[in-house]
Amino acid sequence: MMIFPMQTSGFALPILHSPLGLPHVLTLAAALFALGLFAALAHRSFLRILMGLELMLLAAMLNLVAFTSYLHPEGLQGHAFTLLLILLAIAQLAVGVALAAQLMRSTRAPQSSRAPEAEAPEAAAQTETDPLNVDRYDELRW
Amino acid sequence: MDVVIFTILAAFMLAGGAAMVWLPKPSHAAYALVGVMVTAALMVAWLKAEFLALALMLALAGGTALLVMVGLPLLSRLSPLNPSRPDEDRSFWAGIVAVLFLVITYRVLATTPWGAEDHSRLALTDAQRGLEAIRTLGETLRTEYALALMGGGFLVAVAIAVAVALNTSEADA
Repeated sequence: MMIFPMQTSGFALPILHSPLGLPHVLTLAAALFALGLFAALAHRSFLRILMGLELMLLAAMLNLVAFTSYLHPEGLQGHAFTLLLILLAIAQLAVGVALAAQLMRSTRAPQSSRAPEAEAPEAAAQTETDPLNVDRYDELRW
Repeated sequence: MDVVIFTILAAFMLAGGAAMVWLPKPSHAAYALVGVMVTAALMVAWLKAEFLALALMLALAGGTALLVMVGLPLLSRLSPLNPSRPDEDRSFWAGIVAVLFLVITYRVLATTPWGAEDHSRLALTDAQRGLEAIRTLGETLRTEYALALMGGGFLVAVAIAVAVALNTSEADA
């Protein structure tokens, strides 16, 4: 089985050679989703992970609208789902920022109690004092 | 003309997304995210869903911009927001997962009839049957459950307001 079939189901690939249509929007949404996935997995900061999740939700919204526009242009069902998703994204963002504020309060680093030698490597010290670093969650007492 | 518009919007979205991932300052990354959202709203308008584009622009992009302008300065008052780049250890595996996702998506696109120029070919496929289910669900959501949807939105708004109020009172205390 070929991983990259050049012509299947009447869909000529690469998409650059086909007229503008649904596959192009889906490919763009997939690229956006991949960027969001990378951001959510590669960053250690809670805020950056939240932003990655927002990007992934945006890609999903784009998919819904594209499917409705190209496959079912007279319907509004995909749009209804997208509205629901917008609501979800806003709530997620608001709750996420509120959580970040709480995290900052509960894991605020006691700067004065840190040993001076521990502050020498700046990057390591920054990670240790960053209240939004997900690696510090083990220190929390829930 | 459509190709030019799509190319410009796609380039802006991808550049904004990449900037969001790699810009070190959280505030800059958040502004890049707002840019991506505004471009996505324009893309949705280009897909002939103007009402949804407006909702996306006002609610999501506007809400995110508001949170960026109000939330991040408030957070930085609690503790300075450290600049951060993708972690080197995690980047390798995150890159592999992202590329794997793209390969799987490419594979799905290549083997489904969604790319067919003649969409009437979808009439007898499983994709169409799945679409029927989504249509029924969406129709129900839009009609019979509209009240529940609005009620849910209201409850979410109340929850957000209470969360903000609790945070504010705790901060004052």
